Amino acid sequence: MRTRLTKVGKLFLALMLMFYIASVTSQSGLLLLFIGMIGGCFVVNWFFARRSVRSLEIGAPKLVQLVEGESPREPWRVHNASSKNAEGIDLLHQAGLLFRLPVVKYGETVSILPKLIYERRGVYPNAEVSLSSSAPYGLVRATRMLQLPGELVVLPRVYDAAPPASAGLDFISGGRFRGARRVNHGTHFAGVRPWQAGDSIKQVHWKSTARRGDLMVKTYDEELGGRLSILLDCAPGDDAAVDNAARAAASIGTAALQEGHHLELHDPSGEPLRLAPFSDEGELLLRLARYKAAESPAVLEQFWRKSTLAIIGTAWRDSWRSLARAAVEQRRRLWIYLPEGQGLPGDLEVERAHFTRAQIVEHRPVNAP
Amino acid sequence: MTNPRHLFILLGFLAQGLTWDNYPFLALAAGLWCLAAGPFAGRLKTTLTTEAIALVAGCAFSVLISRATGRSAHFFLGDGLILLQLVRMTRPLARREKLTALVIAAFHFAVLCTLAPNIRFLVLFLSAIFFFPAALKETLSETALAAPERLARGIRLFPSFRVAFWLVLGSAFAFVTFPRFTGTPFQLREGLGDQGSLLDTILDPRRGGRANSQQVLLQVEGDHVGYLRAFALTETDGVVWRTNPKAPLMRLPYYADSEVQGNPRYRHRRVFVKNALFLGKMLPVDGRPVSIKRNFFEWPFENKFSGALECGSMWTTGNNIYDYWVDTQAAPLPLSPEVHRHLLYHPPQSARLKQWLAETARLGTNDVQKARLVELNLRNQFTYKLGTPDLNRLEPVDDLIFNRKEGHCERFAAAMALFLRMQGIPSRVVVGYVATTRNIFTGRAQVRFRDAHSWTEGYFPGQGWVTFDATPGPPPGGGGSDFLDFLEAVDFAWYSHVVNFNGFAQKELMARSIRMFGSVPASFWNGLVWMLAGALALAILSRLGAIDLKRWKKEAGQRKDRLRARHYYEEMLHALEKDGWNKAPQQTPFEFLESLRAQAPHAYTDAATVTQHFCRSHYGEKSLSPEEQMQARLAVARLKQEAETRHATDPIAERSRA
Repeated sequence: MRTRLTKVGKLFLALMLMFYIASVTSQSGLLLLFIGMIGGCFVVNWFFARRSVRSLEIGAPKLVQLVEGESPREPWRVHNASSKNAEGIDLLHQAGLLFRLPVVKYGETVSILPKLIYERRGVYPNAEVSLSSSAPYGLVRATRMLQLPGELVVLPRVYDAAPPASAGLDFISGGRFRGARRVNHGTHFAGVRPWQAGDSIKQVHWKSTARRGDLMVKTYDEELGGRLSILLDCAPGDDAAVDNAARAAASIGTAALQEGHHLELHDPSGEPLRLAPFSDEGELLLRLARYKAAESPAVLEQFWRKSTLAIIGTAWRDSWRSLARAAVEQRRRLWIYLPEGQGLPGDLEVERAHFTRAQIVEHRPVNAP
Repeated sequence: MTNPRHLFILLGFLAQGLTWDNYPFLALAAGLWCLAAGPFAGRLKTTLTTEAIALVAGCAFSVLISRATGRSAHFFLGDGLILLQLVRMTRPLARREKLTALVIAAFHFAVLCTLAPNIRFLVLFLSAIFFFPAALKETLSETALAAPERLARGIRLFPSFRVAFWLVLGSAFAFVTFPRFTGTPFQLREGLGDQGSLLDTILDPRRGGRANSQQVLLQVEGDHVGYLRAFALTETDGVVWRTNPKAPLMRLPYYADSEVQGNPRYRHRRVFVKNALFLGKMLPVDGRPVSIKRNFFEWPFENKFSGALECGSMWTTGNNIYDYWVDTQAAPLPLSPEVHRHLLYHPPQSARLKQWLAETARLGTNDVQKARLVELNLRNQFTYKLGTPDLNRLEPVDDLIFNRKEGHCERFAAAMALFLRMQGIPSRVVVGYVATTRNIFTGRAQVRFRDAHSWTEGYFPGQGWVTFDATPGPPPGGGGSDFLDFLEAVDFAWYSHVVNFNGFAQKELMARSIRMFGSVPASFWNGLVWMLAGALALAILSRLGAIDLKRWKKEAGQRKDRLRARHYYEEMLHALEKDGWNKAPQQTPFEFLESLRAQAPHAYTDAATVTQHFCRSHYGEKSLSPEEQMQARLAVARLKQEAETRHATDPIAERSRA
């Protein structure tokens, strides 16, 4: 348990010192009585605050997932196991004050829903939750780290965004793009053709069969899905920009999945995350919630051979230049996403886009000024 | 008005109000506080500009009033802050503003600590013990203890008596142990010598206004305390009497303690001085001491001209005391020719005055008798009055004798001294005190400011210095009461032991404590060392995990709870036994309870409560909460009472019991 002076405590300590200096010139030492009284308040505060913090048992939900801008929906449980009331209880997380309890009576158990709104994505382990109290006088604050199991994960908020034009198109049922070929399955009816050996009886188009007298089967437009490789490569430092980049990656990735593209995400955490079209974006968001900005040297061979590359970062990094050159040599499409206001070197012929906190604001094709 | 912050602010107002040394301002500040905390609380909308104007206006008002009333204007800022606090009380404050208000009130209270070290301080301090922590808590409650919830859940703002007790202990600890700089050798070197005696401001009301002040200055132990002379005026130009600053100082005789203590020839006095500052460098004594014991001044010297005892330096200690012994059979001291000549000087007086003097002293057969006749004439034919207008500066004594015929003691003493000198008798005007009352609780003669007096001494060969008190009427005095005596005794004790507790007193206390510890046998210290070593070892083992003190404490608590629950259960069985229901040895508690359900339904509910608590604690090893203990206690009390009632009224139960 850690006990430290609050700002008010420091103020009154300075006041005590001032009074002590004044008592030097005073005829009587009665000021020392007043100093002693204030000092007594410090001691009482120290004792009561520590007792309040020591006496409480906290129960936290093991795993909570929520999106940026939301507050948790699972209640926390606070139990006062001592024989004295605990006052002025604050439960603090990294993101701020989870909740505040004016008093927990002895033997009482309270369930309380945190009102804290998590504005930033990330992982908030319960082990870092601290319980503190400065009651009754606010001069001294006692804090205890709770070391609770479990964690709270805040996923990046996803906004509407268009994924970059995909490459490496491949047949995928439900894919957004249509190929030139006709296939037996699909959603877009293209016409009929004579029956061939191997065709299923279910594919027979009975109306045209009746009309022509031969067995005719239905054909559909070929549905294609592309491949998108995202490299999230942010420079550490500017946390807000990193969050914006993660949000952009989440939005682009989610949009790509929903359009039926294969998606792979490379970040410094190690193994790339590869997701099939139309798969749940939860895994992607979880990965992005845990993302921590760090150096991640990437080479083109790490990515799918045929895919659109999207590099998302907080500022231009020289390590991207070789990647860009290799991509151009292989005639692959490369997109670079940067925060609004960040520029690219003039000699680089890539498609670029800019993002803000809540949207992709600008697309610029290759050779655009 | 029950807001503790407002109450602490009121204490600050009262503390600041005491700097005015009168009550109207105090009442005004309290009245304004009532308005601000009552009907106007939180209703006005004031801006920072309004508050700044209030502060400046308060300061300006204070300076103007101080100039008009002759009060020191040093406290103008404190007065201005009162107005600021009042204005701020009329609007809701943010937490930071509340803290500012609290700090200002603390500064006001600090003024009280330095300027009003009397019993009034104690009253306000005890109030502050409750109001200050409550005000701090109220300030915190805006955030951590949200106000509506606080009220709903009944959080108390004011500290309990137990907390207040600890705060008082903390104050006392700081007071006794904090190093202090008052009463250090530095202060001893400086002394209080240049400040002179406060008697100057007492005798003439126009110069200080302390005449008739009830404040006790010193207390004297001993019978028949006479005129306590402080100093004497020996130089005159016919208009004003002054001390002689160039008068040489002589060493006092020193008799060994063993010679004077317990010897009836030497009259003993013990003097308790409330505040050494009031004495200046002069030591009030009734007689010429031959031995002095003291704790707050250096060895005094005797002024050759005035006979006053002057100290090189004087300081203040925890309890300012001096003892002195006066030789009751001492031979009169001879007067040196130089002093004799000096004490005879007087400017020529008018023929009319000479004639009046000769006429008055006509019937005297010797110098002493003649002087006594003049003294009697002045006492009987003139009137004592304070605050009379100035006398004619050319012939002041003529003006007093023939025209005014009234004045205060200093005028008559000066006239008497002049008359003695006109008759060839060396004389001087003595200034000091005449104790008129005794405190019934301490038995000491009390000297107040109002007891300051002036009289005359004349030197007669063979008799030495003879005292003449020419002031008409009885010495000024007032009635008292037992209650006032009690208050004065408390006030004096407070002053002696608390207000005067300075560096010297602290060192003395420490030295005494060390002496006390030194007298404790060595075996005690050895035992203490072993005990501390044991406690340290226990703490280390507990820290290392070898001993689980917490578990041990918890188990001890559970054992205590089990014992308590068993006690209640046995009490219950005893009460039921009285009622004729015995628990069979083979019955379990719940079996016995079930048997009661059918046979004694009236006792079932209470018995069930006690049995459940007993089983839960005894077999389930659960702790009993205070509420549960209370429930069990009440249930047992009810069962006992019921058994008593039935026992008194039911003869069958009586028989079965028999």
